[in-house]
Amino acid sequence: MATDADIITGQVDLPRMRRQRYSRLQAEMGRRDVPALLVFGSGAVQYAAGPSVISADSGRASHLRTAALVLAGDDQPHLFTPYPEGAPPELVPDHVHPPLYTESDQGVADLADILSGLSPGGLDRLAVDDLSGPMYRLAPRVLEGTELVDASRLLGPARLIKTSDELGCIRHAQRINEVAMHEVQAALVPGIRQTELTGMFLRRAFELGATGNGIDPIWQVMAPTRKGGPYTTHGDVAFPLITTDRVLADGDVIWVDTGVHYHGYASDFGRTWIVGHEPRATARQSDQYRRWRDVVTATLAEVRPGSTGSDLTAAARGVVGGQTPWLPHFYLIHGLGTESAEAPMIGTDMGPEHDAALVLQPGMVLVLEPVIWDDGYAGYRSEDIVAVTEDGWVGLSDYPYDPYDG
Amino acid sequence: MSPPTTNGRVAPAPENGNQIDFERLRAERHRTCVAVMDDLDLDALVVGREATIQYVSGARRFWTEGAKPFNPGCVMIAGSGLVYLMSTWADGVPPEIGHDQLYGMTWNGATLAAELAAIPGLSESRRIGVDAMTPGAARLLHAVAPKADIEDASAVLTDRRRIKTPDEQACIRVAAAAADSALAHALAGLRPGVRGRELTGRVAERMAGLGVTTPDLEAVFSSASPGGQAPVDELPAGALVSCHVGAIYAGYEGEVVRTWLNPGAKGLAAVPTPGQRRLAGRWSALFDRLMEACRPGGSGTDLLAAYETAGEPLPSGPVAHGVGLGMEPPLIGDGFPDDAGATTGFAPGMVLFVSGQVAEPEVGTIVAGETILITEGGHELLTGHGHGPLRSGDG
Repeated sequence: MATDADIITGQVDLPRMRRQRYSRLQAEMGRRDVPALLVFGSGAVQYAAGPSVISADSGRASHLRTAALVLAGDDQPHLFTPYPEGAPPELVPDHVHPPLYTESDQGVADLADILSGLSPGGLDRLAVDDLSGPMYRLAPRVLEGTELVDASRLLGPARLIKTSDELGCIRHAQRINEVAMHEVQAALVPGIRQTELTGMFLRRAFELGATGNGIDPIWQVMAPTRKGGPYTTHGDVAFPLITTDRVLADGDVIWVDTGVHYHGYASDFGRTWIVGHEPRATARQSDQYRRWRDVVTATLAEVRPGSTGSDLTAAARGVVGGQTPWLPHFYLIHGLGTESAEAPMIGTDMGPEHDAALVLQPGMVLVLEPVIWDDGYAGYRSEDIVAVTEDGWVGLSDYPYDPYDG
Repeated sequence: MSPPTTNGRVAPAPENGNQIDFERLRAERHRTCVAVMDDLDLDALVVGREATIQYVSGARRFWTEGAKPFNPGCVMIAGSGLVYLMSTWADGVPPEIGHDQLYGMTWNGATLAAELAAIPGLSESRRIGVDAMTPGAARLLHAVAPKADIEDASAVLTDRRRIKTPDEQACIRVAAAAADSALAHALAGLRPGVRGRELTGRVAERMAGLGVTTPDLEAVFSSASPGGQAPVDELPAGALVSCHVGAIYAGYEGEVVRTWLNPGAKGLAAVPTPGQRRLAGRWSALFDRLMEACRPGGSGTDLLAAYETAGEPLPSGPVAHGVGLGMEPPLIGDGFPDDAGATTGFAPGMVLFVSGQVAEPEVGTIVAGETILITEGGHELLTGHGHGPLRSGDG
């Protein structure tokens, strides 16, 4: 299990990481009596097989597909990939295959042949995360007798607890993201465009060794009031809004959110900045930050093995007079791994029962993203990342809160 | 507070400057969706692939990398012709989708079911078309619309989208220009000792400077010289470097591939060896044959035949693919099933990415490709970055 020393040195043993993840996946398959798992989602494929990939737009990724097939009891996953040079070196050659093409009938028939070749006895159940149109249409015929179940039921529990190597990857991705941001924040002067910030950030992140960019970087200018922002279905603040070539002005409050990848693991950088040559927070803005800090401190005080999600939401609400200090369409806390937001999620619209059933364990990663909003004066939102340890937590993010804590 | 851009809400920055009529673009796509629903006698269309959601809704959506599982993110009802979109806010949503046609994002399956059930006409549907599915989403849709048969509409959607309207072509031209420009900016930084990831960074920087912050793929720079997978920064002057750059503008793709001669230490162009010249000549002959096939009535089969008549072996992976809202069918090349589109006839308005690849063990590989538009008279190249010292005809 993760120790502080592992995280601080950031040492990553990629073959060990892949081996340990695979064991967790096999254990879940055994526990749920699922003989085979076939995944296409980029994050799921990373978790199951760990290939080096060229990150791509969803259209490209859905046609030139990288997929992973895990058979219960098998020593290694099967990888289907257009980039065989990216296959993990320890993967035996007969487990590395050409890509599956699932957008045509013949491609689906070929997939069915591959499945029956690899499991000659047939499969009574197959866990999948996505069915192309032809897969959905043809499955009753070409996979007759095979029950299709959702892969998320296996992947969610397996991914909930991170190994020390996974924590090292997240820490490293976050470090790349943060180092790049020091340069971007220094350039945050009136007259710069949102898209220019994106260009600076991405260039620096790639130079620093990011293996991909996960999301279109966000530099959202916050209107002072909810009504001043776009219409929302819940009447609350809209976030995140897409980046444009908007020119930023002195005093703009911007909510920043970015995520880059390192060996498949996502960073998550969230800060509130003020545009200016020497920006200073107003007294009210400083007070927003102080309340945000109080929420984080109170929540972290409850972070230890055995605490429930409800303990954390209660602590967060307790320091702001019972209000809910996070966005209603998101959460107080989300996890982070091969997806930029994954389990555990705490404070979502899945409700208090879901939070009460979530019991913290060592190795869970928690991204805290409370929001303090004073309508008329905008608000403060930042994200801090911790990993749950045997006796509390250890931080995985480390970036200042300028200009709010100065 | 800084004023929001007026042109940024439903498309990225260069929208107005490129005179693309996005309102007309969306209207034409909507008519296509109506035709798809007529073709399949659908009461409702429920789509979850990112490209299909963009096609049906016209919304500019938050970009995230990679393949995502199906999620019922957009619904179109045949009777009313109305489109409903999973979006908690109206930002990026075109005006024809009213506030009452938005349903908020949720983590709760019961909430999602209730949101879908509240869409007028969906729960009474007899036939629902989908572009993809998951086991859980199928259960959910059956619960929301108990009388409905759920049909695969993906092939008809693909087919109906194949011919690009002039406005779609204009979006692809912008993306192609951004890819060309970003490649040029990256190559200006290429010299011995420069790491591939620095070049990838230069691509992202230039694209964002043009207002395009979404890539088709993270730009790839790799050795095309003999001797395997040496990192780009270890390649000497005169080595072959392959470059693959793609951009996404307003959802549409533009893509360019080049093989470049690594310059000298001060960026001075290297002089190709006789072997490299010979290889460049072979590439040029091959690409001429490929382009001959790019005309109305040609097909992927003709592209594959062009390799054969040029005497060049087929590379692994696609030699051509459809271009639209990202990569689209047809996929043409070694290893793709016969029904992936190789036999689809080319017609004016189709956009393809076509690449030629030639190799010689002692010299290396030259691969280069262009985004092209099929026209009445043949084709038009939408990308046009030069080939540098490897251009053919120099001896």
